[in-house]
Amino acid sequence: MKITTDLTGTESAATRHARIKAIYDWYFGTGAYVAAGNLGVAREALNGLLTSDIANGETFASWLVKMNSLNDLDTFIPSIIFAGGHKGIVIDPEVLSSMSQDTAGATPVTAAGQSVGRILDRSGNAMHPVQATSAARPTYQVDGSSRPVLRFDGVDDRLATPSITWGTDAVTLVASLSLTPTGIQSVIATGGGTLSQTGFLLSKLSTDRIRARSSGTAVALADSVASVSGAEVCAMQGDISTPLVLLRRNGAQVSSNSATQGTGTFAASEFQIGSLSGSQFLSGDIYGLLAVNRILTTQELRWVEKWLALKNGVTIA
Amino acid sequence: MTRVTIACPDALIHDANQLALCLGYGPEDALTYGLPIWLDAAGNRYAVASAIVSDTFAAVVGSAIAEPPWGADMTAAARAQSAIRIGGAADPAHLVAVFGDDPQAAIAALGVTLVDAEG
Repeated sequence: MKITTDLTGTESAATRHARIKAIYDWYFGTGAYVAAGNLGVAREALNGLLTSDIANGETFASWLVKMNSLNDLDTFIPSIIFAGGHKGIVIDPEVLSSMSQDTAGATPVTAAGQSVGRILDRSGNAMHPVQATSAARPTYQVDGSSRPVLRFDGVDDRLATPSITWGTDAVTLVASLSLTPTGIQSVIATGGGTLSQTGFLLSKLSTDRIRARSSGTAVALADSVASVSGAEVCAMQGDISTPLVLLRRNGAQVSSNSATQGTGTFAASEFQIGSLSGSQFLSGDIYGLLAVNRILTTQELRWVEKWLALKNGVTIA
Repeated sequence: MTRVTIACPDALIHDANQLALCLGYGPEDALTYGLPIWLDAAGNRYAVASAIVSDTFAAVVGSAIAEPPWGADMTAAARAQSAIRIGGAADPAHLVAVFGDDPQAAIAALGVTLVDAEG
């Protein structure tokens, strides 16, 4: 789904209002504009998403511009999710220029089969995952449908960010991936790299089911019933104080657990992609992922899932 | 380019990492062989590394090696080099290298399994 706009500032008020309504509904979900009641409420709500308000006299196109989002979901989605300075990370191997073969960015990735020593974080937090050891770098590949992926070999490949000061007890993590049904695999792990600290984990079990794990001073798990089977979009949300951990696959919730997670916030730690502390190596492809230190709204979660589904061809209703 | 997957016995990890320094691209390649978390059927422990390498890798490994600008223990690297064997199952006395694009097939050929606990 893409936004298109041809506002010039000379349209009639009725035209501008119609387009505000359309984009408001796109942003907040079908029917949201009616629920908001009037244009003023809608405008205030949208202004609330910006760090710099739309000024009097500006057209609604200004909102799109200020959101840096015209026709570019790869920019638009992260700009919404991380607006206001939320911590987290976005990686997107579809953006070839975001990857380099080394950790410093001196040698760009230009072709399939090359190792990836760094992929830029597109969340605005500059938490770029790197791998300094040559043999442990994943490779940039295209899948059978010519879709770009980061491919992890299931032996030693992994990436890690600098330590992220998470600062909250909540997380939403969405990953577009395809896992090989072999062994125990960690997709994303935090928490100081161990299972004894507060943190969260998205993994594949030895039974080939998917697990979401969230922990404060106690651990809660949410496991899928179905096994991995080709490309999918996995999402987890964890909240220590609520408490909740839930797992979604391809846009549908498949498991949840409201058992206590004790207390605390998620520990400041590196963000490990493809491994848990040098084990549980991921065997498969990552098409893109996003993690943020808050519970996304239902609508936001749906956008992110749909956006990441575009990257691996999964259909989400 | 091709892929090589190498099983390094626990006792040779230090030596093998010195060799990796000589064949690699920087000082971080001293961490090529990590934890010995792979086991063969007899219970011997290995660190395993898998990477895309040049087509001349096998020849390079068999040739004289030079100390890299970032330094390496060349005596240890030479010990590792002399322990290399191409193909077959993992062996506690050798660095066994398997060439092939599929890393999981290479792992199967090496006959090692990863010892992991569910997360």
